[in-house]
Amino acid sequence: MSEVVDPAVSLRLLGPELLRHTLARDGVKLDLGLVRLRVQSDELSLPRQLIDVYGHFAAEQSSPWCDMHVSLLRATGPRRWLRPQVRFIADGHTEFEPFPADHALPLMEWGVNWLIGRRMNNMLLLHAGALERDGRALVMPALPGSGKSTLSAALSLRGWRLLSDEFGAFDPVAGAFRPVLKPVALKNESIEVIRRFEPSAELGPSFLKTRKGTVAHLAPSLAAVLRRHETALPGMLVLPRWRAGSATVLEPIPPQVAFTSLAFNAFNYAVLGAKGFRAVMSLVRGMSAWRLEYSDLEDATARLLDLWQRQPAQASAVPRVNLATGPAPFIGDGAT
Amino acid sequence: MAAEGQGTQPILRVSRSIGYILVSGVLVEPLGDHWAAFSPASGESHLINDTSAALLEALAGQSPSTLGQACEALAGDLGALPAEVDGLVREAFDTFLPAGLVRAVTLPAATTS
Repeated sequence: MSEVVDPAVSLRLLGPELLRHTLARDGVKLDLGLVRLRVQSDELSLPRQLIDVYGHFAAEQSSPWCDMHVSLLRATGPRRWLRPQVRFIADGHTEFEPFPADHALPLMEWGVNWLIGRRMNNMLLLHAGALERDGRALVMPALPGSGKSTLSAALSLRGWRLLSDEFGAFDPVAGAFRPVLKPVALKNESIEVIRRFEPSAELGPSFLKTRKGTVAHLAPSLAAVLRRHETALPGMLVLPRWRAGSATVLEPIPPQVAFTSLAFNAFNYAVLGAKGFRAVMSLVRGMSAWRLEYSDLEDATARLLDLWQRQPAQASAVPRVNLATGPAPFIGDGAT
Repeated sequence: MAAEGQGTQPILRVSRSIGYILVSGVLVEPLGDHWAAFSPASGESHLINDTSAALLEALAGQSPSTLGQACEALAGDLGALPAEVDGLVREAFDTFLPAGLVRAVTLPAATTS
């Protein structure tokens, strides 16, 4: 079936029926920017779900290389007649407990995020929302529940280019952030907040009673998909925190707070060792750092844009990091 | 440790002391009002103050420093007497050693006869 798929055709144009055949046979290849993903599935609900949130992505058939090979397959056994389930299999290994069959998309999203967080150790992988404007990245590291994804979604609906709502993927060699472009995962109240914020937002189906409550995904825009290989130089660091009823507070933070926030929110800081230290240090020195507390998305996004436009472009000042040696340390021999 | 002589041989008295040196691969960088120190042993980073950074710098030489030498170096930086910083240095070593920033080594024996 793969020979009939034009590599330039988006999933949306491909349609659910052809996508179902492609998924069931060779699989569909999705280029997310930093990683290329191959997905195979026999789950009938997945094609429609993929079209809703990956609709602008091309169904790539020509690319020979994929970083990750995942399958979402119907669980077998008598249970499949009572409560059908779907399993996530990565490179032949089952990694998680199965999900209800009609929750294939959230299972895929969590599974792929887990794989990226474990494998892409050539990047400093921050648990952060990341967006681009004027060639520079706004990076928002935060713990779950801080409103990072909601704010990332809102900014992406107000002219910022989404790089990721989950990964601030800093390439220390290039000295730039790379997109890991996936749908923005919105949870519970955030779904309606974003619907109200931007009624034209392309939201996929709501999945009820997942492990994180109700989940829905915001599709990345076509412009973001087309630019998924464009990097962004470090621009500004913002530590977001949503707090019910709070006025918008946007204030600078000292570099040691920025440093600890970046190091703490890096998935692979300990794995990278000295390389991670150098990468975080270069980011702290290259970006202004702020704390944002908010409850009103319109106000928060407007304040961020205002601050952004008043910031001098610092991107050119960010030193690139030689992963082999790094810059000479102030103290120490720098041996790795 | 003492090597006891036999018969008419002279008695050698060998004393050993402990020296301290920065662990290879430790990185220390200024960070606003603080310093960040990376420990390759733990993979963790630590925020330290100016005094701690000065002490680590004093231990970054080619050869280990005794406690007394470390106190002298730090006292020189701070404009104090070595005895005045002795407690500070001991306290710092209690933090630096388990953090993998500094290691203790047995210094070559000093011999007397």
